[in-house]
Amino acid sequence: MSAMSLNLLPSSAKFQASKIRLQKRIRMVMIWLAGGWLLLLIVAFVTNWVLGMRIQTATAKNKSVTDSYALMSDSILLTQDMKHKAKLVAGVLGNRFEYGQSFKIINVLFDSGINLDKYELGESGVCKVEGSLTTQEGVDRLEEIIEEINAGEREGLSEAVLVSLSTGKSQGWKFVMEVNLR
Amino acid sequence: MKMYGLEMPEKTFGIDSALIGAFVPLLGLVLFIIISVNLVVVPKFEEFGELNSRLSTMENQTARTVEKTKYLQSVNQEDLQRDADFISSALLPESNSYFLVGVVGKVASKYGFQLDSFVINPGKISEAPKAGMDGVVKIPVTLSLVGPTLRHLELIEGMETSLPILSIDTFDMRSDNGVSRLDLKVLAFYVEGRSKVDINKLTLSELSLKKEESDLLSKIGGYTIWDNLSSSTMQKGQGVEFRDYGRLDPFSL
Repeated sequence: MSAMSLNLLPSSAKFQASKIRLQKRIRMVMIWLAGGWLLLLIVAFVTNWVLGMRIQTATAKNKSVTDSYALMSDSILLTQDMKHKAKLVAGVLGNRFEYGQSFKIINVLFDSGINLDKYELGESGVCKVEGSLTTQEGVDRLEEIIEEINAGEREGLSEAVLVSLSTGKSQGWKFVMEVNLR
Repeated sequence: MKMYGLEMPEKTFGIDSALIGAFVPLLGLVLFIIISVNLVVVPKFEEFGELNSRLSTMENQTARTVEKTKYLQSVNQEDLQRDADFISSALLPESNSYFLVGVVGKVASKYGFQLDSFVINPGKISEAPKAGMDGVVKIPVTLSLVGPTLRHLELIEGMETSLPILSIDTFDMRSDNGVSRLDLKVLAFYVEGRSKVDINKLTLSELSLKKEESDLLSKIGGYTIWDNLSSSTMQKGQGVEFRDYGRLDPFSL
C-alpha cells in the first residue's frame, strides 16, 4: 500500500481484512504445496510403473536369451574342456626337455672319425658322452671341438669338459666328456 | 476465543491467537508433506535407483549373452569337435601304464626299434599317483628299447612328436656295432575329471580360442596320433558279462 493512500476502515475491520488476505495467501500456498506433493506422488508412481514394465520386459528378454544360450551348453562345455586341456598340454610341452633337439646338436658335433658309444643326459642338462677314436688326429680334433664349445662357437652348447681319455696297445682311444646344453 | 475446539487466549506470546490459528493448517500440511516425503517418496526414489541399476545390469547381461550366443552360433561345431578330440588325444584317455607302453612300443616299431623290457610301477596306495594342482596325473613307465643306432634320433623325435604327449624323463643310450640300447623313463599325462565351469559366468573372451591355444593346436597338428591301440586293457569293462565261478565263501563254512 502506498504511503499516500488513505484507509478509513476501523482498526478491527482492518485487522479482519488483513486476516482474510493472509488466510487467502496461506490457502494458495497450501494449494501449491498440496499440488506439488500430489505431482511428486504421481511422478513417483508413474516412474515406478514404467520401471516395473521395463524390468518385466528386460527379464523376459534376458530369460529367452539365457535359455537359447543354455541350449548351447554342450558346445560351451566342450570348448571349456578343450581350453582346460590345452592349458595343461601347453604347460607340459613348455616344461618338457626336448631330447631330440639336444641330441641333434651333439650328433653334429663330431666328425666322421669320432664314434659315439654312449649318451647319458642328466637332469641338469649336462650330457655325458662316451666315444671312441682310432687316430691321434681324432684326439686333436676332439680337443679342438671342446675348445670351440668353451669359446661359445657351437650353438646350443655352453661348456664342455674332457672327463677321461684312455688308450691301450691294441685298441684305439676311448673318451668320456661332459657337455652342458644351454 | 475458541480455536479448533480449544479455548485460546486473545494473544499468545504477544501475537494474536487468530493470526497463529491461520498458520495452523499450513504448518499441518507442511508437516504432513515432510513426513510423507520422508516415508514414501524418498524411499521410492531410492528404489528407482536400485531398479535402474538392476535394469542396466540385466540389459548388459542380455547384451553379453547375445554376443556369446552369436559367437557360439558362428563356430563350426565339427571343427570344434575335431579340435577338442585332437587336444584330448594329447593326454592319456585313462590312468593306464599299459596303454603308455603300447604307445611307446608302436612308436619304437615305426623306427625299427623293439621293446626289450619295461617296468611299470602301479605303486602302493600310500604312493598312488596324485594329481597336481592342475589335475594332471603323471604316468611313468621305464623301458628298454633296442634298435639301429642310425635311427635313434628319429625315434626320440618320433616320441617327442607323438600324441598322447610323451615326456622323456631320463635317457641312457649304449651303442655297439650299429645297435643301440635305449633305457628310458617316459611320462605321459592324464587329467582327472573335467573342469567345472559356470557357463553363465563365462565371458566372450573365455569362450573363444586364445592365440596361444590356436598356436598349440597348430603345433601339435603335426604330431602323430597313436589312438588306434586295441590292447585288451583298453577294452576291459566294455561288454564283459559277469561270470559266477561258484567259489565258496571260506568264512561261511
